[in-house]
Amino acid sequence: MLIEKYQPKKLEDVISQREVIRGIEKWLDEWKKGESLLIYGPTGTGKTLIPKLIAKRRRLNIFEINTSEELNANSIREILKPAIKEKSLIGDRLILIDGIDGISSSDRGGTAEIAKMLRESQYPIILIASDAYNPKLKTLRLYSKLLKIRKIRSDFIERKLIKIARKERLKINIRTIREIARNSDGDIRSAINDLEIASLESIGQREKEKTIFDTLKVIFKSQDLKAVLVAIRSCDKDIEEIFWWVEQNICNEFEDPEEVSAAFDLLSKADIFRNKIAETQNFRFKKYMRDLVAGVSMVKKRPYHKFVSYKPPDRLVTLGRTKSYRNEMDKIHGKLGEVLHCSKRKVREQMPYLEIILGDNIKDF
Amino acid sequence: MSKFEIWTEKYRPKKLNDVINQGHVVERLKSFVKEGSIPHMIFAGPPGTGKTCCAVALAREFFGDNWRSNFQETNASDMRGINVIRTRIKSFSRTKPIGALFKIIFLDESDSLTSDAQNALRRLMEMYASITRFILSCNYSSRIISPIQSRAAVFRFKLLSKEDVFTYLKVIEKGEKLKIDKNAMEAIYEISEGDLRKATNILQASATLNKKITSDTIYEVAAQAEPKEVKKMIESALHGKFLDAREMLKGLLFKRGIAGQDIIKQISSEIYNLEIPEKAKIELIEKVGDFEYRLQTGNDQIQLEALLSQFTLLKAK
Repeated sequence: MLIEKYQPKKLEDVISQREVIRGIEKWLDEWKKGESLLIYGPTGTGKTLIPKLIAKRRRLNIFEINTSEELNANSIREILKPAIKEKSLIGDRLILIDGIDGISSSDRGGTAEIAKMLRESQYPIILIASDAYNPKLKTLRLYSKLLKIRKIRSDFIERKLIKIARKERLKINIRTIREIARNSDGDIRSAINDLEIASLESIGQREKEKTIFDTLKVIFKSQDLKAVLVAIRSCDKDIEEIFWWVEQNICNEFEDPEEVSAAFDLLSKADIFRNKIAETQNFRFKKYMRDLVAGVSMVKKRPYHKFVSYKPPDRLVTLGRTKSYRNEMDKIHGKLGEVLHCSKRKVREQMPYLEIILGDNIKDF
Repeated sequence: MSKFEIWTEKYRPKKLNDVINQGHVVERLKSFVKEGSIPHMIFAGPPGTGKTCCAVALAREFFGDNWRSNFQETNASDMRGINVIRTRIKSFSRTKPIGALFKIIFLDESDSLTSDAQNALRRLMEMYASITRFILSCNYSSRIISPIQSRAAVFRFKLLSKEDVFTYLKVIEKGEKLKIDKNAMEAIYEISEGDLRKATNILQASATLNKKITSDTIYEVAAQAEPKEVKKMIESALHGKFLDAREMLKGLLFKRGIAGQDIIKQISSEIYNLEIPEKAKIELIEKVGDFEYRLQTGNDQIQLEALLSQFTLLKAK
């Protein structure tokens, strides 16, 4: 796991969070009996790691308990009492109580007992929580200095991810890394995990989902059919939707009529398969439809080095806008058809004449 | 609405004998009436040649006054899915005839039914044969699946000749006290291409302008009626303005609600009027044919756009 491999081994490896490090060191230096430190902030920012690294540098022994254990009054007394009293033979110690706000309400008297220990402890105690203002921590707050830890800036995370990706020779593009960093919301742990998963997927010919704009860009700009197919496959939209997006944007991208007509010819053929799928429910045809849409990338004589802002298909908009009008006309055509013994389609064909013949009477239908 | 008459209905032949020049069909239909029994039938032929007329006239003569309750007319092209067959058509198939041994279901434009729908229909034809007869009308009998063809008597309706059209127009001329000159007759025939429905509509539309009908009136009405958008659309494409053509196409399809098949039909008839080299016309005709073929399975918008983009190439050359 990358997350273990790249966990900082010394304080210098920790990215950003200088303030927090300084804050903890200062508190340790000035520590006086009866006061604990409550570090709080979002996950994956180093709340637990940083105190440990500091302890390592200062050669303090870590005595750690966390809320995965049962923490009722009795058990806390049992665990902590020796720790706060007993003089260590090897040297000084630092007590860490992690996930203090996760202490369960079934852990009767737990926080009260911890508060008692805080006052008695011979050694500094650091409490770690994600939210310092959790009502459960009301008592503990009274004896604690609060230290907030912030989210890690995404550009720091991005730099770290790139460093890891280089070292590991991961097959992953910079855009994906940037996306991971941005999506991590300051949580470097999840970012590194995501990086690992994303790189595994790209080895298996799968990248993180692409937006339709990324996919269109590849279809229109790239001349590498394989890359185009990957872009279509990894798009977050189905080929049916991509089909209409391509249709809408052919003319925005291509300027040469030969390119335009070649592109439409491919779409026309893809469309045949598209309808075959609907008709026969044979989804094998989807492959041909997809490959023909991908073929649009091959019609350009050379790529256009221009910025194109790709537009969403206006088809649905048009259909929506004209819907009520069409419904109304359809009703009229249907009624006329009954009278004239013919289909709506034949009525539509004859409509220009019927409009002249009927004039205003058409409203009666 | 009743105050208004549409001549295609007013002058629709009420009796089999009045049907214009489909003698071979009419004779056989009359013998069915005489024998008191009719088979399933397929009426194949070009539009406006009397298929619906024959079906209605047959029903009138066969059922007499009860004809409306035993004759169900359905337009297949308006509902071509299998569900219509399984619901509407099926429920009508199994209802008992009133005062007759069986009833008739007339399915207009059956060739637009999908093959699945036709197969479902074939089952109905077998299951309810004792109480229901089907008449399927279509332009081409080849588009009807062979199991149905083999279960039905196929009647082919001839394209009407110029004289046939004139005969019919003269009936209307007399009935409506019009004055149609010879050239106007020719013009109507030319525009209608032997389709009596179209011919009658052109005549009535012209008559709303003037009771004295000349070829000028006919052409004026025809020009007014033929959607100019199609021509404009082609011209835009030819001038390399593909995006304009695309917009016009979307107007025709989505706003006017014209079927792709009908648009492509107009495109193909428009090609010979274009001012382009004869050789280019043939090239285009080939393309139009190709895309009309694709249009049978494909999407109207995509296929027609692809066709229009072919027109832009002429400009490039």
